[in-house]
Amino acid sequence: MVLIQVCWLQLRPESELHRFWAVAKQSTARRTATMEHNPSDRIAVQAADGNVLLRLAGYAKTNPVVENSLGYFYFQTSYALYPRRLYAGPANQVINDGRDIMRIEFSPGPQWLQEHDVRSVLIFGNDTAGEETPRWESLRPRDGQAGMQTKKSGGN
Amino acid sequence: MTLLTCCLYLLLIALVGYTVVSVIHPSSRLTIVQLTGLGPAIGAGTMGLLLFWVSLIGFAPSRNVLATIAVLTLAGLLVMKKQNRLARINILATDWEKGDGWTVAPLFITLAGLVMIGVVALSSPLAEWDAFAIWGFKAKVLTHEALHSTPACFHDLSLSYSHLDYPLMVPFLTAGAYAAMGTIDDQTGKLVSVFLDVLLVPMVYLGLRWKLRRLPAACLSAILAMLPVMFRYAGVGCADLPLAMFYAGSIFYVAKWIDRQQWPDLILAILFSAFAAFTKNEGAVLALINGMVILGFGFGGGRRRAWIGAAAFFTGLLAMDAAWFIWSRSLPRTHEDYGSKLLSLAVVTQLPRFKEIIPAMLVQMTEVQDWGLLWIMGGMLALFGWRALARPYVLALWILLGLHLMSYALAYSVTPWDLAVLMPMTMDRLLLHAVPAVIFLAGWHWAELGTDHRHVGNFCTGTL
Repeated sequence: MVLIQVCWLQLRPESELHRFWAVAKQSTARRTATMEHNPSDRIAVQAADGNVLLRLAGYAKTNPVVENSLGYFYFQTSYALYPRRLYAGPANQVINDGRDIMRIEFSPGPQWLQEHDVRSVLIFGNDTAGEETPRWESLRPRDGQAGMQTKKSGGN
Repeated sequence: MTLLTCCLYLLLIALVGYTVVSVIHPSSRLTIVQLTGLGPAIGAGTMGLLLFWVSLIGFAPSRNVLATIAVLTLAGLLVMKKQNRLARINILATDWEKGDGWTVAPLFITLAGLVMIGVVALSSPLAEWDAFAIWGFKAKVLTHEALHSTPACFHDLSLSYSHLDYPLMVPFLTAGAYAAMGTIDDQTGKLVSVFLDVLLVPMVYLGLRWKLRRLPAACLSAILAMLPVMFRYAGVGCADLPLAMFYAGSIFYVAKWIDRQQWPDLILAILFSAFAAFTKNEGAVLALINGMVILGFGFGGGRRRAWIGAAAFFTGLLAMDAAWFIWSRSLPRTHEDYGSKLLSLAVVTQLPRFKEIIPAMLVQMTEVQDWGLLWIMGGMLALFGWRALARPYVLALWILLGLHLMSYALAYSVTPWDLAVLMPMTMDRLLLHAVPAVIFLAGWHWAELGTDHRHVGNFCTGTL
């Protein structure tokens, strides 16, 4: 009876099985298209060899509504970029969620960026340009370093 | 091509497991379920620990490392074959009994559920929050860098969200798959997650068949395979189901050791407890509880062998996980740091939070949308089969389950997170770890109800 009941649970339209089945039924092309629109994967392709700095703009600096999406974006992009790094704070600052990123307000100077091989900036939140976010900005390549393979995977 | 190499890697894991089983039980007879469940489960744990130890020496998982493991395994198998010590395959451990024909139905349901889990998991890359932020991220780190000189990532607090101090069984097994494939393909790599997660079902079936006939054991296993929480968490790339799988093996063999006092059971209890401790921090607590129960029942029996068993358990556990405990000691703890909090006096001041935690746990257990009637059925079977409580191994399992749930309630009581937010998010996942104990208890109490009882004294306790 219990077995029949758990099977029945999987037959309901809102069951995990139904949800999964709907995903599995999607065509490969559609799934690929969805993945290509995943901002983190796109960023991983755009970032090429260098590390990336995450900079908050406009509402994202203070609005608690974006804490969750900011945290998710940071975690997912960090995963997609590795072994390159997405810096949202120095190595001695704890980041457990989006709120921590907002609190840190990380804005390193040119020397820090150079030491950490940061070659591009991701802007999260609306900025003066008013473009969609996350917005991508490449830093000017330094002499002799453009396209250099980085082995740095973290640290101070 | 990546799928093929990933499958070869899983085959190597199964082969390693078969070798270890043959070493523990020379010249024994393995049933199909042991071959496809117990062997790969031991193989997975062994492979995870091996890759960790090799990484500590300075070699990140690579095809060369895997090839070396394969060569050593094959050499071991050849030597054992020469000495006639290899475990043999025995399709059925016991004769087909009356009514066993109906077993086909729950078996079909189980296989359908597991296939569905596999198909769905492999149709998308890592998408679950914890899967990429914690386990997937570490798998990438371990693929790129050996632990000989600790990768900077493990001391970078801006990656604290990835829980820097979490054990590395699942990341190492995933890194092994990436090494075998020669590329980081997290969609194909999810095959490792599916492999580890679905192993829970044969491991549970194995424990049930110890005392139960085929049909009821298959029905209880099918219930597990079709649980909504199983569909929710299987194949997503997290470590909860692998922990439940290793934990299932550990408590089954702890119960067998308490019942029969045979060394191979103790060795398997040590192995599975060590694997669980290297899978999640909760696993270390559960391994400790396993040892305490072995010690407690040793006291009760007053038998010298049981005392020695408890000492052997803790020595074996420490020996296998010592490298992890030492290496991870210097890692930064997150603000959660349950280990330190549970060992401090703070735990006493937080006890009033139990008023909120215990009712929430009870409500979750009766959540039909998540568990069906599993927990309620477990309670009912325990009630009707109450005579099983006279058996030490059943009593031991009740104590294991009680301490298990108590440790989780204590962890909730010291959490820095808001309980109202944390519990709805994590409760089903944590209770999933306890499901093997609940199903074993349901089955072993069921066995006391009448004709469904069986007792097999030799190694062949599982069968199709």
